[in-house]
Amino acid sequence: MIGARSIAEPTIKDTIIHRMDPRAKILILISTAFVAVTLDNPKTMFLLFLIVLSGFAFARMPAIKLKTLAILLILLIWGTIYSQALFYSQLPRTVIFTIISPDFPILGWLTNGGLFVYAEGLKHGAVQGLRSASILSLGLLMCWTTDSRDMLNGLVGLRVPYSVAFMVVTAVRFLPIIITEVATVVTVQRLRGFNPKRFGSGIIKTSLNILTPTLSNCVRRTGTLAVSIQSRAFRANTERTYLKKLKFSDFDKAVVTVCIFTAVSIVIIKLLYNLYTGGIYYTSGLRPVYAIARGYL
Amino acid sequence: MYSEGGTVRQNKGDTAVEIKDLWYTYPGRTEPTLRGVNLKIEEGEFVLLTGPTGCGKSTLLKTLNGIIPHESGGIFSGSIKISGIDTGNSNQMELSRKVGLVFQNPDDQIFSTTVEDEVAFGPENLCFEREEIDKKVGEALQMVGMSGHRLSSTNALSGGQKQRICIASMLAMMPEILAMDEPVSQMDPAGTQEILNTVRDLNRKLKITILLVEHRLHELAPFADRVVIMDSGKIIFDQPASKAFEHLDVFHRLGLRVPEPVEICHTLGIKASPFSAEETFPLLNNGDFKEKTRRYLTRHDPEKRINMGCSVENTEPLVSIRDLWSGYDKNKMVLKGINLEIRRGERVAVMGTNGSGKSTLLLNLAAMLKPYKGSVKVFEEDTKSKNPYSFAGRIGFVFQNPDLMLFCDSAEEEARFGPVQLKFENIEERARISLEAMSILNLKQDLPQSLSRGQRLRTAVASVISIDPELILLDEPTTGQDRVNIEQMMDYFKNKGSTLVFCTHDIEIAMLYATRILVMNEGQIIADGRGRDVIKNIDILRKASLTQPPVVEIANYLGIDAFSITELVETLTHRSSEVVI
Repeated sequence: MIGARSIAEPTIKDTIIHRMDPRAKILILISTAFVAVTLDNPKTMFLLFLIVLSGFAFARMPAIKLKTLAILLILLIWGTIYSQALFYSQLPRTVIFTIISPDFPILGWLTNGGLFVYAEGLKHGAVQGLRSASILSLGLLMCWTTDSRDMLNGLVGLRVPYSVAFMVVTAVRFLPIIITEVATVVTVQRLRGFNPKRFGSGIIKTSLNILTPTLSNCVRRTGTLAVSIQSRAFRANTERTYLKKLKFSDFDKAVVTVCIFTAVSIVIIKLLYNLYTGGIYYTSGLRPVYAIARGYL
Repeated sequence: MYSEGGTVRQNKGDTAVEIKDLWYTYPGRTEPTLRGVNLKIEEGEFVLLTGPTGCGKSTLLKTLNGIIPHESGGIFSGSIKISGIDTGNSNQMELSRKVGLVFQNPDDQIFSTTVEDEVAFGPENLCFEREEIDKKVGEALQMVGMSGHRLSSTNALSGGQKQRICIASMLAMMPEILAMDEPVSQMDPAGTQEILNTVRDLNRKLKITILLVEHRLHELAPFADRVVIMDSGKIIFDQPASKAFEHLDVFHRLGLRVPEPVEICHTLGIKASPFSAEETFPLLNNGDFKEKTRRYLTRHDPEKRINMGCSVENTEPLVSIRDLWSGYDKNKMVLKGINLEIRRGERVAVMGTNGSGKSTLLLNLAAMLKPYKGSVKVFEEDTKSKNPYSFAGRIGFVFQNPDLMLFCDSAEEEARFGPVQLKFENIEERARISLEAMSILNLKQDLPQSLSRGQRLRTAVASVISIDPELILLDEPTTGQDRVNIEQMMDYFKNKGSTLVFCTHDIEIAMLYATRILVMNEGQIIADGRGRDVIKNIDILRKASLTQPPVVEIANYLGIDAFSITELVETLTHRSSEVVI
């Protein structure tokens, strides 16, 4: 119960990552998302993933959070690779393993010609998995190293409307409490003799049982919070002042500049390469660029 | 309706709140929650609004800053004026600068991760300059005694500390009216006094009008100018605080707790309503009670007469704790070397300051938390190798928030859930008995979430007692509950002879129902014994932010060994009859 809460809440420490301006973190996340979506090369994608993971080392994340991250990443990457390996539909594709032969009674017919593991599917799945994993990891790193109020100020600093930023941050802020409450409801059920892990009906019934108290509690809490913040003049004025002043340090500027420059460069190179491969635009002067795109991106 | 308003309001300024014939029905309901409320509060008044749970107090508060009807919808009629502004014709933003609201559960109000940010939120919205915000945050925190926690994480605070932050976040905006919905219900007695003194100072020095909703009437009455009682959506009583308790029948009928000194004086036939023990002493001197009692005591040994509580010396220990160190972070232990044995049939009250480790101790007893060092044995089984589910059916846990315990479609299903899962026999009988014991048999088909707070607590208790566990753990069961609900629940456990461990700040309830009181401070047990022994040690009580109940102070003054109103009055009545003879 307590562990669930520790996982979801930010860990405030004095590290280089924690000290970064929230605006810088948001800009880095956006840049990385562009890069991750643009890249197709498994090796470069893996390198990006490693760079993101190194952030956790710099942030000196506690073991419980690293464990959570590992579980999430394994589930995400393995799930993506597995599904893509089985259901890869593009051609050419190379069968490396047969799970259900087309001749297998009933199942062969049901699977529309058998079920195979494809080499290209594995590679495609790995890229997709690493793509999602990089963005997820960086998002978690940002949430785990940034105080929610700093995040709010960061979003406002990036011209996100205050009301929208407040809603986003408050929703994230209450996530740990909801997780704690879910854990409490499960504990209550089990103390009353119910086994939530019982296969089938156990899991379904548990989900329904969790939903009622946590939802009604959420509704009640949301109502109280709304009243509470309104009575504190929330949106009473179109503008507002801030006690804390965000400071974009030279380090932040340098990192953000590198990230944005890299992201923009990769997107442009990839765009030019796609124009070339699509037969839309080609110029011999850009051959080195095409080579970089083909070899590394 | 009892009403007498003029005396207190003299010398006050303009009208702060004026409510005329207010009716309100929530969307989807057929019965109105407010039924023709009329109330006038002058600027600078301190009004205590009380009444049984579900009577409409909280709803009335929400009408003050326009939440009702602007945000809630529903059917609304009548008028409310705040400093002359009609809430119906005004917007909520304007009203929010006039009325500050503080609610019961601080977790529902705090959204910032640091104390400073939370308190600064209001002044920031009001566009104060940075230096001004900084100053206001500092002042507000100082007012609630939380200056040292300015940079603390809000999650690291105890319930009481969080509530102080909620109050500070309102104080930072310096509203004209402070409306508070049970703001001290989760605080220890010393914390309560501290906050109430602060609120009183704000009221007296800065003329902030206070409207405070609270069940703990006996603790708050001394601070108020007026006592207003609601029942079934109406105001049925409105009196100056000094005269309110001349009508004790109203309080008794509604199950509201009356200050002990008032109860004692009225029982002894003294026509006065003192709020504190100190105010009671001269009244007892006038009646020569002290001298007569001294003469009586020379012929009687009170120790022989007073009920010494149940003896459990020879019963088996259900719980055995040895050098327990436990907490949520290994670098910051909450419990530090606890040694404890609890025997079958004991009712143990765990008391102490907010954050002293009471709830952590309970979580260890239920195997929800594991010892970092030492051992916890429940039913002779070491909890280190067990999970809480190993004790399903043997340990019953009622959480502070009963809402998280209610997940079925009806109160009856809640009571049936445990016995069905544990494959007990006589399921219907168990459900019926437990619902009947909590007086909610007539609500058995109702959706638990739609019941009042008191009824929800009783449903949660019924869902536990239908299992008939050997050890029952209650985490702050008295929070936000009126006297009737508390007594009904505790009477059940007392009559059944249950083994009970409950955390509470309510020393009167602990004295009344516990066979043993543990006092905790900074993760250690600093006192452990019968209530009447623990309560004598003023130094220990002070250390744990507890105070002696007024009845004990009065008994000490008279030189009597009495620990409840019944005992005190009984002793004095015996004495009177002997003296007459």
